[in-house]
Parts: sequence; C-alpha cells; structure tokens
Amino acid sequence: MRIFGIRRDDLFGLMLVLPAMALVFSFIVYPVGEVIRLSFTNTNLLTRRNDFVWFESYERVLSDPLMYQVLQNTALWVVVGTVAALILGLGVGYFISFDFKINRLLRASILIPWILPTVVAVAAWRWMYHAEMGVINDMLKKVGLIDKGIAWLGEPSLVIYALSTIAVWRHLPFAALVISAAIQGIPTGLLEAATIDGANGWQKFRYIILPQLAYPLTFIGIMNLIWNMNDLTTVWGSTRGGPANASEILSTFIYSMGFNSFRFGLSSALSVINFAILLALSLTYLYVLRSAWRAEER
Amino acid sequence: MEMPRRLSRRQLVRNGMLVAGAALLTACGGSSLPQPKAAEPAKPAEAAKPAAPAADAKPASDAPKPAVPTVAPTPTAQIAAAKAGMPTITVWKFGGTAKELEYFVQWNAKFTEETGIGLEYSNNDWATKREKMLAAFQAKRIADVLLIDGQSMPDLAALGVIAPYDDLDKSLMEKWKPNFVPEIWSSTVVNGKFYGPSSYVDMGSFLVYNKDMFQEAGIARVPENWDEVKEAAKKLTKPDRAGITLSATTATNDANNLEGIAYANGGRWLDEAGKKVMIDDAGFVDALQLYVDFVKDKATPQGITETAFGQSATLFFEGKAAMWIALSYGKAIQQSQGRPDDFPMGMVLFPRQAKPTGFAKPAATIMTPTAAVAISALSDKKEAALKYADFWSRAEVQAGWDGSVIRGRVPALKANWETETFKKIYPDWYELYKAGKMFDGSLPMPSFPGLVEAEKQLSTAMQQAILGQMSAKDALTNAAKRAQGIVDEFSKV
Repeated sequence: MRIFGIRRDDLFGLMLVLPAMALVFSFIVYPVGEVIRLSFTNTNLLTRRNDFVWFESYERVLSDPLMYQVLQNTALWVVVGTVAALILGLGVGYFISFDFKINRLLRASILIPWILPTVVAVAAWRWMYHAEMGVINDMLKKVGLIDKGIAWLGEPSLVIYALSTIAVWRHLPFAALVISAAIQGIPTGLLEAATIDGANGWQKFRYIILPQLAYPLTFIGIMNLIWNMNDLTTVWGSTRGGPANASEILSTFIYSMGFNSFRFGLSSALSVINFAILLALSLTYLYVLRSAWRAEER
Repeated sequence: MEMPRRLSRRQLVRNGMLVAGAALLTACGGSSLPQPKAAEPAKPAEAAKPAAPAADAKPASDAPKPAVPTVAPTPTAQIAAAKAGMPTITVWKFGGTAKELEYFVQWNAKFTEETGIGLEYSNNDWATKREKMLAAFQAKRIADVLLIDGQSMPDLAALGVIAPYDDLDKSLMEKWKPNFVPEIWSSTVVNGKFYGPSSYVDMGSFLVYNKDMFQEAGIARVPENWDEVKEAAKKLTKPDRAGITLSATTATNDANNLEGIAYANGGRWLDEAGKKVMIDDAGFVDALQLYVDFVKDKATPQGITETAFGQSATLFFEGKAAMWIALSYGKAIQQSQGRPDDFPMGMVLFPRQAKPTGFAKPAATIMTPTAAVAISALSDKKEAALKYADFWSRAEVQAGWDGSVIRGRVPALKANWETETFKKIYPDWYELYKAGKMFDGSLPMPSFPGLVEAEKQLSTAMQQAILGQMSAKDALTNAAKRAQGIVDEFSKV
C-alpha cells in the first residue's frame, strides 16, 4: 500500500527520522545558512543597515591590517593547543592504561579539568598566572627560578602559550581517556608475541601500540582542532584578545565584531572564513592520516 | 557473620537519581531570594580636595542608618500580585557591589508590598550586559526595566531598546528633576532626551594612596601635579612594593581611568562637532605618556597589562602598592573586599599636569551612573515600570547611598548630600559640594554609538605604549584612525 506514492513501510521509517531531521534543520542547517546569507550583507544593528553587498564584507575583513595578526595568532593557538594535547594525551593515556593501583584514582581525578565549567577554570587560571599575586610565579620565585613575577597573560610573547596551557589542561583528560581505552583494547597476544620476539618497551610502543592508535589520534586531533578554533571562553575570559592584540584570535574577533559593535555582516563573514579554514584543516588532516588507517586495516 | 551490604547497579542508579532529584528540588525551592551575583564590583566613589591630604573620612559606624526594609521578595508576592490583577514586571540589574545587591532586593520587596506590582528581579553579569540585552531585544524577550550604565545608553537608545522618559511621562521628569544633582541628571540625557533616573554616579579619575606609606616615606603632602606623582611613586617603590598601581587591560573600567586623566588634561574623545576622533591630541597622548613614564621608572607592579581594576585594588589593599589610580569607587571596593574601616586610605582627584595640554577645557571629572532606571521600549507594562522608576527616585529609597549602607558612590539625590551621615563620612565631598566645586566642570563619561569598540582601540594603544611596542603618540594615532572608521560608520545612526 502506498501513501502519497511512498510505501507504507518507508513512510513509517520517514516518520521516525522526521523529528531528528527537523531538529537538525532548525538548529544546524538554518543557522549556518543564515550566517552565510548575513556574510553577504552589511548588516549592522546600530545603523539598521541590511543590504545585500556580495563580497564587500569579506573584502573589508581581509583588508583589515589586524586580520593578518589575527590569523597568525589563531594558527599558533590552534597548532600549539592541538599538538600539545595530542602528545601529552598520548603520554598520560599510555601511563593510565597500565594496571597500577594509583591509576584507578588517576582515571577518575583526571576528569576534573574536563568537568569544571570553563568560566570558573579561566577565572582561577587568571589569578594563578598573575605576576604579583599568582601562585605560579610564587612557586617559581620560591624555587629560585625567577626573582620577579612573569606576566604570563600580560606579555605578548607569552600570552598564546599561557592560554594554550589552559586549553591543553582542559582537553587533556578527554585525550588521555580515549587513548587509554584504545590501548586497553589492543589484543594482549600482539604484545606478548612481540615480547617473545625480543622487542623492548619502546619498540612495542612504536611498532604495535602507536599504529593501533591511528583512529583515536585522528579523532582527538580533529576534536582539538575544532575546540581550539572555536574556543572563545578561554581567551575572552582571560585577556579579551590583549595585550596589544597578541591573543586576538578568530573567535574573539568574531565575537567582538558581532557583540561589541553589532556589525553582524562582518562578523558573519569572519565566521564563514573560520568555518572554511576549519574544514580545510580537518580534510587535510584526514587526508594525511589515511595511510595510517590503511596500514591499521591491513 | 554479617556480610557487608552491597548495592546493586539498579539500586545505585535509583538512589543516585533520588538524591539528584532532591538536590535539584532544594536548589530550586530552597531560596526565594533572587541571588545577587558578586559581579564586577562596579564603580563607587569618594572625592576629595585636589591638593591637601584627604581628611579622615571615618566610615561612621555610629552614623544614623536609613530604615532598610528587611523583607525579601518571595514568589508569593508575585502570585499575590497576579491574583490581585496587578502586573509583574521584569527587572534586570547589571553588576554592583554585594551591599548594593542586598539593598536592591530589600527595597524591591517594599515596592511590591506598597504597589502590589510583582517583580521578577535578577542581577546579571556586568561584562556581558550588552550581549544579554541585545540578544533579548532581538528575541523580543527583554526585561521591562533595565538598570544600566550611562555609557551604554547611546547605543541602546539608537537601537530603540530603551524609551525616553520624555515620550513616556514628562510630568514624572518634572517631579524628579529638582531633586537631582543637575550634572548627574544630565549624565543620562542622550540627544536631549532623558533615559533614566539614577541613584549614584562613579567619577574619575582619582589618586588613592596609603597614608601610612606616605608618612613612612616622608611625603608630607599629596602630589599636586604629574611630576610630583611620578616623584612620589619612585620614592614609594620598594623591592616588594610598587609605588603606584594602575590597570591596563582591555576592560572598560581601565580605559575610563585613562580617559579621566586625559579629560582633566584637556583631552576629549571627539571634537566639538562630535565627528573627529581626537585621542591622538596632546590631551590623551600626554596622559598615556604618564602611564608609560610610571612603567619606565619601574614604579608599577609587574604585569599591569594583565591587571584589571579589581586586581589593582587588591594590590593596594594588600599593601603591595602605595598608590592606586582608580575611579571614585575606592571605598566601595574597600567595603566589598571586607577591608577594615580604618584602612589608612586617602583619596584625591588625580592631580593635573602643571599646564594642561589638550585642546579642550580641562574637565574636573568625568562621571557615569551604573544603575540608571531605563525602561524598555518593548515593554507592555510601561505604567508599572514608571511606578518602579518613581519608587527608586524617592529620597528614603535612595538614602542608603549617603554612605550609611553603601559606601564609595557619589549620590544622585540632593537630599543625600545633606544627611548627617553623609557629612560625617564624606566631609571633603560635602565641603566641595557646598562650595559648588564638586561637579563644577564635570562631564559625563564619553558616550557615543560605537563607543565600546572605539574604547577597545584606546585600550590596545594603551597596552602597545606600555609594552614599549610603540610611542604613546604613534599608538594613539593608530587607535584614532581605527576609531575614526567606527565613528564614521556609526554616525549614520
């Protein structure tokens, strides 16, 4: 039996997916489409302008002298944050995958940075970093490494690294737990065979464990890429893009353009650029790592 | 032998859900008080003579206190209002000190009790106030009453978010106006229209100093010009203490401090026609150079580009800085940080350069309210909202700002300047007020459409100069160029 030319069984299936599709359309497709549409306008809530201007908004943001610095800062922020989270996550994940007694406690407590609200974490880090009142400088002074406080968030050459530390601290638990779970899933037979063949610890890690982690590492890499690229709270809550624009990244620039000056046309153009960069990076990353997956599949 | 009792997984989940549910219920129903957030310690005030050391303004604990109602609003009041056919209005406040937030809650209850009008009152984050209001306005879910700052008003007025009282009820304006300090009344006038009565303003800029440290360093009188401030800062600097602390983050308050000094040096954001950005003029350049000089003299703490005004206050009250460049909110932060009443704090208007260099007439101070009662243009309960504004314009309701409850704010009502408490707590202010000098030459803080973004350019220039990336002149020239683009674009409003 057919209703509107659709088989009854198919119609039932369609009815089941319809709510999900409606949600996806309402909360993903429509807003993304709207951002793209706005990026071709000069929408400004204060001047009440909303004309279609083709690529004028893109031209304006790309010709802004600050844009070059923003892109540079964003690249540094994303690369440092992602690479550090991957390397440290691998190390910590490897360690907690062992059956040490302490690891039960570690696996639970490692989640604290992950579950703490970002705003709270950022506020705490701001105080910890402070040159005069922060606990980090205090400790460094006590062990004799420095004699004057370092302005981690107030020094342009340090600020991105200091902020990346916060981001890595937040994202590390996720990476470590995923990697730890993946390592625990590796058949013990493989490792035992390698031991019988005389492989040492490094060789087992390099030739057996690491290749098995290609998928989880790709996943963690992409997730970190996306999180860092879109992270507003860490940077805005700590420095608002300062000092002297040294931590102005795409997400803070977009926010500032949209909510400080109500220029939603420019803000949307920046968002589309952000999206395009993220897409390109993710695809490149996937392309580069495809050979590792193939090796794993073989 | 009794076996230890083990929970099954199902029991664990069930019990866990019960506990979580109970916790949720407690959280929802446990407190009927609107929970004031300890948001940005907004801006309070104490003024003083520009030259002589400030007289002891002992925060009179024995001073008479206004009768603050102790009833807190409860949902029952709203239900009762609804039952009685009275409307319930939504009120959003932004920022404020803990004392103020308590005060608002208590008097709000009195308002409901008196008028029968229900209130849905909430305190919101200061730093994201524009985002919240804008998003709510777009979604047509904005509060009926917004307790906001004067600097946000031009943008909100231009957007049509707030309605001028001139169009709502002129007779109320006529009733209120004679009771207010005229300069404070004018601080919420935009394009000739009045957007809301306030209970206080914050003024800038001030030099806060530690009297004991002055004495210990042999400084007999408070600096009277910039050179003397620089000298005093150098003299007061020790290995574990900065001579002077200032804030140079991108927060608005930090820009306001510099603006206060620059305006007193004859600087202005815009020329007289309000079209050309003038922050690259000598008025601003020299003020910024003063900051740079403090840093070059190594008289400031480490990391002032990461030190916001609240952190500067902490450095001062912790004895890690002998002087502090602040707005008039010194005593309010003292109160909100729970510092002792007898802290040896002195406060004077920030001294001027011996010969002001800006193109305009030096301003005595700049000021802005931070909780003016503005009414949403979208409100369909404007009558009730007007009653709320009228209530908050009454002398007995505003009485707490004379220093008896809330410290460090410059009261808006004339009546508050005449109370015994006020005279006792702020003798210097009272003297200046009676002599007609307190507000003489004071201007509203800069406010024009696009100000927030323009101020960010100023903050960036401030940081570039302080960090030695550029000279003060070059940094401000760049900032002026960028700010000009913003002003040009927004002048089409």
